[in-house]
Amino acid sequence: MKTIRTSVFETNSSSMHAISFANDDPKVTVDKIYVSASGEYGWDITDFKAPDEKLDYATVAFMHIARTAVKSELEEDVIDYIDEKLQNVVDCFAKHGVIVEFAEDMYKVNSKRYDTAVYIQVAISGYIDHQSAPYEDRDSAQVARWFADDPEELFKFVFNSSYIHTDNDNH
Amino acid sequence: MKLLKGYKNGNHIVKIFDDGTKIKETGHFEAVCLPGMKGGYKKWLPSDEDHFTYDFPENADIKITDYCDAGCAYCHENSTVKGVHGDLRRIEKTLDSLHAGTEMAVGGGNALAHPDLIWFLEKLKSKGVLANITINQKHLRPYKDLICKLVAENLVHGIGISLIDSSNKDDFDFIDTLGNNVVIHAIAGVLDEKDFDVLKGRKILILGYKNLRRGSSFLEKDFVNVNHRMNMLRNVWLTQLKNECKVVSFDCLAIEQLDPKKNLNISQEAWDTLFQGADTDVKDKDGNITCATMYVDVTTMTVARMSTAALDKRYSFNGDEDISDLLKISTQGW
Repeated sequence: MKTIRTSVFETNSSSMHAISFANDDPKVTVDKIYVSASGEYGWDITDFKAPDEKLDYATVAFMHIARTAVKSELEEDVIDYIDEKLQNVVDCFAKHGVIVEFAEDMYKVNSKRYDTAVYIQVAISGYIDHQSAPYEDRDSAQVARWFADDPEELFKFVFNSSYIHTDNDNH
Repeated sequence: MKLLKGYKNGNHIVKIFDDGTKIKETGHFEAVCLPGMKGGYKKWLPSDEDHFTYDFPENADIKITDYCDAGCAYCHENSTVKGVHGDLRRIEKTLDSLHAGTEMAVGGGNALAHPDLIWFLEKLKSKGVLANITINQKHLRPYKDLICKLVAENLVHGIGISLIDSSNKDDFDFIDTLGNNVVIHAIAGVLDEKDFDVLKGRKILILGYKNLRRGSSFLEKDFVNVNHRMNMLRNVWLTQLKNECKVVSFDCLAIEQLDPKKNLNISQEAWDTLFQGADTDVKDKDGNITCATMYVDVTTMTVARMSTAALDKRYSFNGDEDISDLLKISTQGW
């Protein structure tokens, strides 16, 4: 069981805040999102505008950066890091009345040893094409950072009017 | 959000963040050993229990004085200039038993008028208790320096301002200097459409109308208008407030009177996550305490479930008791 009190301290001196609803500029259009990190982003010319598509994209982008964000050679550490960040997103969205459910088998962490180095891989079924993968200052990197460090910004991104446009350079 | 406090209570953990967000989750800690490494760490494993249990209160609503010069016509506390201050030093042992992370909603009467307020808040701060305070809007100007001190020294986290006059621009300009954790308290049946402009973009708490003491005589005198405002709030204004305010929250009585779940079209799943529990749901079948909050009246040295509890459900204490024992006492008769 889990409950969330949203953005207020218990100031009420005659009985408690029993429930609170936060409101931001983003227009919340759904109350539940299922995420499987299985979207394929980057080759076809497509706009992704729906909240579930945007959150799936952000999840895929985050998974790209997750393995490098943890300075550890242990799979457990990477799993703990990812699970913590997923939980933060669930908590943040729930605070706004949106239930997020990540697929149970959404990702797998594998490690391979090469001589003295250990290479950790986070495997998901979705991908972002290499030309727009979340490196440096690309937009996808910003979305991945929101996912990892600023779920409130991620929430705004998912429910505001911005959208993801994918394309290729063959035209 | 920055984590302010995290702690375990009963069958769950509690995390409180610097904007007041509080996350509770049932589960337990389990020792984890990493392969090939010495030692280990404790990992939190969530569980799917259907209720929370409590070893100590998560929130305590504490009335420290019955003195007040505001004279609000609908005051359910009946506070007046003849009201007495509670002896806060008498409950020092109880205060010493408080747990870090517990929230205290400090109120009165006019809590700002209590001569031991600073001593009391410093005591709470030293224990890691998160103190919040309710201030009547009429007291903003007379106590401006004291309020600034409370904020500057982090002696209070949340500040509830009882809405009296939404047209007073100076008051709201001052409120805007007090940080992001101010919540405007508005009473269902008293809150009017003319107040909405000033509430835009703010956090508000809608309190149920307490038909008690002066609240009762005010209702008798102004029934038509109170009833009209209550109906308008329930059926029309709630949606507007939810769209225009930064946060809209309700106490248990307001939920009964306004039915926000239905009138704001909140899904059952969202409601189950956001609803903090009824303060009259006191024990599970195994005898564990299942209520998070309690009421402490230092002016009469009594504890109860809530401030509106009947006289026969208020229990005396002497100030030496552990807060966990007082929580148990407060559940008697429910």
